[in-house]
Amino acid sequence: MVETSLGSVRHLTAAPAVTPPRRRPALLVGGPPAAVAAVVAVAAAWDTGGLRAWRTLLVAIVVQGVPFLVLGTVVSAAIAAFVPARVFTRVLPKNPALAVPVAGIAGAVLPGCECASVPVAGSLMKRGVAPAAALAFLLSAPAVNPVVLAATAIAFPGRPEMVLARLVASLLTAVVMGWLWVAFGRPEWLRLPKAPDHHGAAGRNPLDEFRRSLQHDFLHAGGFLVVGAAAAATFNVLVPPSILQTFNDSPWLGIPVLAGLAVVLAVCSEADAFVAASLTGFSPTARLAFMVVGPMVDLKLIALQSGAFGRGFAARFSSATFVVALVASIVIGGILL
Amino acid sequence: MKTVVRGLAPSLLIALVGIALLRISLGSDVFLQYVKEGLRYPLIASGLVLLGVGIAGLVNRLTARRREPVMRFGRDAEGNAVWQRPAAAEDHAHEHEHEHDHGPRVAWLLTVPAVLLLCFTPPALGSFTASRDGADATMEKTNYADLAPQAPAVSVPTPMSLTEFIGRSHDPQKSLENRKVRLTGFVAPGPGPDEWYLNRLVVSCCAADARRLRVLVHAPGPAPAADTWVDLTGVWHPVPDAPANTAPRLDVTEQHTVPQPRAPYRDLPPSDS
Repeated sequence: MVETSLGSVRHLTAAPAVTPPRRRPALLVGGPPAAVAAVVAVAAAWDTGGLRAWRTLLVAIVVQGVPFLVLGTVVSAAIAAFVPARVFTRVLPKNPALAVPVAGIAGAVLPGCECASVPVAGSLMKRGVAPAAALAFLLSAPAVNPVVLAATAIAFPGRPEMVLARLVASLLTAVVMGWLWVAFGRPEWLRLPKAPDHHGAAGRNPLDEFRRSLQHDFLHAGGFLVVGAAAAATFNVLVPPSILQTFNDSPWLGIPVLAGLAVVLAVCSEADAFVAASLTGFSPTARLAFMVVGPMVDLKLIALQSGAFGRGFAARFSSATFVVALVASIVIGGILL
Repeated sequence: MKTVVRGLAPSLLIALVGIALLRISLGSDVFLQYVKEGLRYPLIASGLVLLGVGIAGLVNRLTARRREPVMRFGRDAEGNAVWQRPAAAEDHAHEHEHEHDHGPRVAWLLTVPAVLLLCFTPPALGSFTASRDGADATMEKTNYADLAPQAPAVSVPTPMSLTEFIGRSHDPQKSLENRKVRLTGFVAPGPGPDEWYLNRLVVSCCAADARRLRVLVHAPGPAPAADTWVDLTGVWHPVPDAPANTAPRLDVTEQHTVPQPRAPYRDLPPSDS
């Protein structure tokens, strides 16, 4: 609840009495110009190899993520501006427990990495889709789309069972997480994005609404993308790859280690199969865990989720997803690999 | 005035990000230092979308400002007709309007990559990443086509990518034996004197997933500075009983400094063009 979102501001105009006081985000205590000045000063002064690599990695992750973020925010802004809510209530089953698997499979149609799915899931919730179904979509979209599965097939030539295992384990995780939300989720954990306001709606056309919602969603998610990219770049520079060799010999420890690596590396879901293929010292199940966890829980995604749905939600949801994905990988890996 | 600037700021910010993306992708190959080639058109498209949204927001904001009346006819508490300044009369009504357009603060972090791209242009990953201790990417067992016959005395070396050179060094057919090859890569410090590494980083999506390919170079004289791109001619030096993921060794006969290739993360054989 620390960051100031448009959602809470809209809320403020609707019911000023119950609005919590606005606080500045802890991230930018010095104010934007000071933060920018500090970063630029650091960048210019410290031209050591590690910091140079850090800058390149930060920029690379952002540049890689932005086109998908734009795709995601365009889709979500289009949903918010042009698609009436009744479309979704008609398409999806009324019962959330049934809507979850449908939404999980529907995730296959959004080609792109995880950056695209967070804003889309947010706007689905705004449009009255059950949160459990939107969350299943959020998890499955980056993991099971055709682009990612094709990349996995290329990265593991001659091993189609790896593609199948990834598809099954990812879908399973997404659906189980959706059902867990149906069973145990509480609405107050989720700081739901507020429905679009209609004050002054008379003078506002859908196109203008589209532009506003695109601008807001992109800026908000983009800021969190930078947070996640900075964290991932820091880990990339600080953690030497040789640490991984320590775990080569223990097949059981390898699984959680690679799952944890997927979280901190934040490699996009279209590329993680190639990284997994290069981790030759690990068991196939450990590499499967890397590919199942990566698109669902990573630093970039946690940052984006805490921006979209609140920090408390991101912490609960990401840790639960991590455990479910780990178990799903072990089970499916044990059967198929 | 301040409220005008605050209202304009998110549009300016989103336009800045759009400009930064266009600057590295439109008529420029700078983006290849960060991501793979296939992302060029998505980058151009998203740059145009962001710039368009930013400009539309600026235009909208500025024209909305001009449409506002300077004075407005209203009534005071006693019901007398008075002229009011809209700024005073509609302070409350406008408050949320401004907040509405005042974007989320975390968004300001986007200026960091945008300014880095526009003003500093971080270089491609180099010897720092390549020199980190860790397992080398192991080559898949690929069957390579037979190389065109080359007499030992012929001076025209065979250009080869590092992937192919490392792959062939494990070739049971020993197709590299007694063959002059040409390799291109960048320099990283080596383990001993007269030894350094020729490296390539290959990327499948963005620089964060860079994997290293390297060849141990034996050359007389001082090693070139780290991160220099060089074009080497030399002969494979087999090391018996070396583990499978050891970098193969090249004894260099000729070396030239070359500019960084257009796509630094694509492991292509050297070409003369």
